[in-house]
Amino acid sequence: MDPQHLAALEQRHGFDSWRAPDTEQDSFFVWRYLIGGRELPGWRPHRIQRVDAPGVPPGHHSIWQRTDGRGRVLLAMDAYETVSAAAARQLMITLLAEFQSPLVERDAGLGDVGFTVPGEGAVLLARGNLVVLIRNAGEETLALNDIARRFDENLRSSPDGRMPWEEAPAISRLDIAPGPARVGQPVSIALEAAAPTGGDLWFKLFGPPGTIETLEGGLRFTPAIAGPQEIVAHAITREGAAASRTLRLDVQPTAE
Amino acid sequence: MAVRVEAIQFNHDAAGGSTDALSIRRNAATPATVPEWQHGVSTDAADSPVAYAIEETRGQIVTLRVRFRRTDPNLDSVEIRAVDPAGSPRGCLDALLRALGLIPFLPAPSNNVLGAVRPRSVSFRPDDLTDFETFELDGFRIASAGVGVYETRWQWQYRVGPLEPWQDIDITAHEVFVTLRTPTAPWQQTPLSPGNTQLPWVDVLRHACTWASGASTADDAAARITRAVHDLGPDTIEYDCPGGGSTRYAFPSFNATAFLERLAGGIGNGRYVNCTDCATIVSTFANAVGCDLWQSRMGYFFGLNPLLAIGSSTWQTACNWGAFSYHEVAWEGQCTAEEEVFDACLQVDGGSDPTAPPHSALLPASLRFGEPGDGDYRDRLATPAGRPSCEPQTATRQRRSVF
Repeated sequence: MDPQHLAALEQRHGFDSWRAPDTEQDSFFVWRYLIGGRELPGWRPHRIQRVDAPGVPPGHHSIWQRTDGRGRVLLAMDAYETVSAAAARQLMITLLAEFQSPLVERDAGLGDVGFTVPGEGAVLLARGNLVVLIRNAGEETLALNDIARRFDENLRSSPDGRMPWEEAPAISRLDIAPGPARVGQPVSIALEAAAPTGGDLWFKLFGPPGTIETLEGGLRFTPAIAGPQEIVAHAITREGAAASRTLRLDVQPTAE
Repeated sequence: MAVRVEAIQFNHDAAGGSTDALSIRRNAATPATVPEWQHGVSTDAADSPVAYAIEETRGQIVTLRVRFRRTDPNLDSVEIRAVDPAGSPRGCLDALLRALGLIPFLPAPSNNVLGAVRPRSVSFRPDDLTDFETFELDGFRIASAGVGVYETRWQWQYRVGPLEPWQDIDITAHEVFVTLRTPTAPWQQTPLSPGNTQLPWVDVLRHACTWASGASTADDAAARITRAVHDLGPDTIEYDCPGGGSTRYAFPSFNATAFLERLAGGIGNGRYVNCTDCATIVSTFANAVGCDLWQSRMGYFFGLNPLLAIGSSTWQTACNWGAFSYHEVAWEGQCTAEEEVFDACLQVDGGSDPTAPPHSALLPASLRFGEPGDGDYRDRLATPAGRPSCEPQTATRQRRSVF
């Protein structure tokens, strides 16, 4: 990205105030994200396409039609999985650089960080390490903030487990390397799961204050506070069937 | 018939394009088949697409490689040729009937820019096939035909001796794309492999060569493509006012598959586009016919004169925003103020005062970017106060790959 454009956008959108995620809040992380087709209630996907390009995190681009077929309304939803919440915020700036309108504004009610345009015809939000862009794509348009909020609520909620158990995946491993976890020191998380049909899985991780991120394809957690803590991992199939497992760890204060 | 055409290979030198056809593929998902025409597989012209570049083939003897099969085992070797069935000599009676218009059931004259296939003799192997034999084209006339999409039909004929009459065998049909030059980046010519999605796509050439039809120079071709893309509005695409003028088809790479779906009347990525999309569409399609354009930005945050955004008939600053945070166009050379832009995203005021009515629409196609006060593209797009902030940002110059 052009440094001059980057600097202009950072200044315009007060990037210094939201560049760094708040590590005192509980952490949330999405791993191996995929759009399965149930993310937007009342809508069905026309196309879901994985997009890989140099210099940009892996993404899914999707186009959605109303399930009831009413109106000439289409939604476009793009989602990018970054390596960390901090990387997600950097990607937000990159995506803001794709808006020609000078009227894009921060919206405190969307995601960890969110932006919208007048009329709410486009919403850009970051939740954890996931960046989502929802826009109108059809002749008739909708205000999208509510749709984006519902997507976000669904994203950061625990799976409800209403899918038949026989379709649920199985988490076979969730642990960390032996030895004490310490504040400020990253520990690797081993997470393995499989779907009964052998299909694709994605994961949500809810953790205590700190940073969950991926490094060279593996997960790691850097605790921000000491004490007994839990990381809850959910493995989710494309159809929405889920399994959960909890990792308990006793985080020690920073070594003297 | 005692002999039949088994396969025709137009692109027989993967590294070249001066004496044979260009390396192409169907689209992102489907590679082209080589040989391009195959017995039992190819039935109409669209089944056998081929592309040639005017510049590279100029003055060259263009060849193709053909394999035949005998069904009469007594034939050891025969002489083979192919002629235009519409102009095929069939004797005096045929000529007379044609002149009198009494044989209307024969195929109409084909749009044959490849000419005829010069006769040569071929020998059959014990397995009844010939080798892939090289044939020269006679009357290859893509330069005079110009950029476009054509159909060549060939009546293949054989004879067993120089004094024997020619016998008709197969008729083959081929969709021929004529470009000015070998396509430029993001399009590639090598490697010629099924996994190389950056080989020129037939589905793109079909539009690009039609849009640029009749062009004799790169600027002319790019201008025609710019006009064609702009004219897709408002029926097929329009400027993204609802979404803040955000990129729909060209981030992070060019989703040409979705755009082609849109062109075919499908949903694609929806109806909205912004300047980045238009710059990418124009440059990618223009480069498919041999132009040499880039996508590059100007900016940042500058005031706008009234303009007509793609799909709009209302003179106003884009969506009444008053300004652009950036703008992107298809651009020549180093994408500096001295070079020309091709902007399908909007029409500027081409009159003496672009800041005020009356407005006269000008599509910026082959228009110099210019310095403030030059009266070129920059002055027509940006307000007098905004022009200093509407600087060419040459660091953004790129050609997005296609998928």
